[in-house]
Amino acid sequence: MALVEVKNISFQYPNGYLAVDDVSFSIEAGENIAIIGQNGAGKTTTVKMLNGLTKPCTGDVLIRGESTQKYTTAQMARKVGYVFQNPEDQIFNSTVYKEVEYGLKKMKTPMEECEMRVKDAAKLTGIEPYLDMNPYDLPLSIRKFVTIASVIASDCDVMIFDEPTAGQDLDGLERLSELNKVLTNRGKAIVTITHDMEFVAENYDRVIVMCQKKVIADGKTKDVFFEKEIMNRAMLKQPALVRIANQLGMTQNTLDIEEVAAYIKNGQTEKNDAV
Amino acid sequence: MNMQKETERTQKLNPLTILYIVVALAVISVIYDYKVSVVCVIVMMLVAAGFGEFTSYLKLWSRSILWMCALCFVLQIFFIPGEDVIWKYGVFQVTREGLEQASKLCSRLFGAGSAAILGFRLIDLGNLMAVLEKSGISPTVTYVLMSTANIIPQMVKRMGAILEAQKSRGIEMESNMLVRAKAFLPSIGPLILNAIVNAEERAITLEARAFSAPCRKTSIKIIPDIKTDKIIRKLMIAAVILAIGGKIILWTAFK
Repeated sequence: MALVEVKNISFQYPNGYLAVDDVSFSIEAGENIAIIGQNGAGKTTTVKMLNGLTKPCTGDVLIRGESTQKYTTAQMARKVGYVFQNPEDQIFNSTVYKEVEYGLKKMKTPMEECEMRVKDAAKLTGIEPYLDMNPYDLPLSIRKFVTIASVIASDCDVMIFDEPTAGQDLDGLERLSELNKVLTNRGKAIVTITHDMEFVAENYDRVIVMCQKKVIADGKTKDVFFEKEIMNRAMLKQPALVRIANQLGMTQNTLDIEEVAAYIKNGQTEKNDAV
Repeated sequence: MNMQKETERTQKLNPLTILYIVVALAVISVIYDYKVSVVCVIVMMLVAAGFGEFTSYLKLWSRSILWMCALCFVLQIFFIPGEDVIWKYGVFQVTREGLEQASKLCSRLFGAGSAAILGFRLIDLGNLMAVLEKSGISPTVTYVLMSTANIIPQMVKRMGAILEAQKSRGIEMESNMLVRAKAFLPSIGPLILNAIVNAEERAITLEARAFSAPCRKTSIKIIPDIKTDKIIRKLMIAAVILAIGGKIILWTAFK
């Protein structure tokens, strides 16, 4: 049984607007998935159904075999963590430490374990130097890591990151990439919504493409990115490496810069030999 | 489509004229008794219909003012003490004094409330502020009015996002009163903190648009003010003066 099973879910707002139309996929423990698509494609509504913030009108979401319909979002928080786009929507404690610890206290985690988890999350997200500071004194990019640390500390099985790459510099992106690796090694399933195709190409093995409320592709990142028709349909830009490989006429799908470089070098040698 | 409708609607009358109509109707219904209030509300319905907003106005009105007045009336007739008992059932009793008081208060609420809702439906606040600014009111005043009107829907939206974020980190909000009370700080905290943080950004944005520059500013909005507008406004002023005058005469005559 997969950790997360999404079975034919649809969601329609009370005003009649259909936000998600018959979406299905499943996620195993330790999997690292990116959900991509234009604004309004239904990505956020879909992931909101994973932790029960939004209940599907039809279909069902099962986490470890249990339907989200039976639980409130707060109960689901033990299993599915969600990092929102805007860190301002959740931060209210006076120090970073208290902010990260807050959810744990709510779940009545023993003090010692609390401290251990907060420190671990702070180390992973690189916010250790700021633990005694007021979160509002920190720049937005670091504040985002404070909210990510809160979710990591709660140690849930599934972690959803909504646009974590927005506004991050290279250092932040590298930290996110490292985080993904550590968490998936711990057996967590990571679901990330992002518009940064280069980041997806480098960090995710599997990608789900959404377009007009539906999933139009779900597969290995390198295969999906080379499907020009799908990328065009979803109005997404192929990463630079994919466009270069296409221009070179490479038949093999690859997101490895070294493979492309080797192909170019070989081509050059062949040309030189021919001359 | 919406934009078109908006311009069509606003082209019909200057927002200041609509404000005059609304205020005049409110004043007339407040100073007279319930019969006049009912007539004024019927006039308001007709005005709304004239602007093609009858259904939306009726919907909003029946959901808010009608209910509020009904509730207020019921509470008043049962709780205002009096000598002359008209109806009695168990501990509940309705007195003539209570009925009079209740009808007086509710008719005022009925007239003024319905007028306020009519104004809310028909007046484009942005246009009204533009007109007021043009007539010499300080931009600071219009900004305060505009931002107050805008802040409520903004905060409601923000609150929704905050509640979702807090639920997602395990703060229970879907249970009894005690549980909800516990969730008060995490819900209201980010809202207030954000308002404070945003104040600085708002100030910078305003300054970047030369808000306090000591010169006369031009406006992109041109709001027509035709002869009909002027006539209606004069008529409304006359109606209010007549109504107040009439009330004074009635008052002195029956004293």
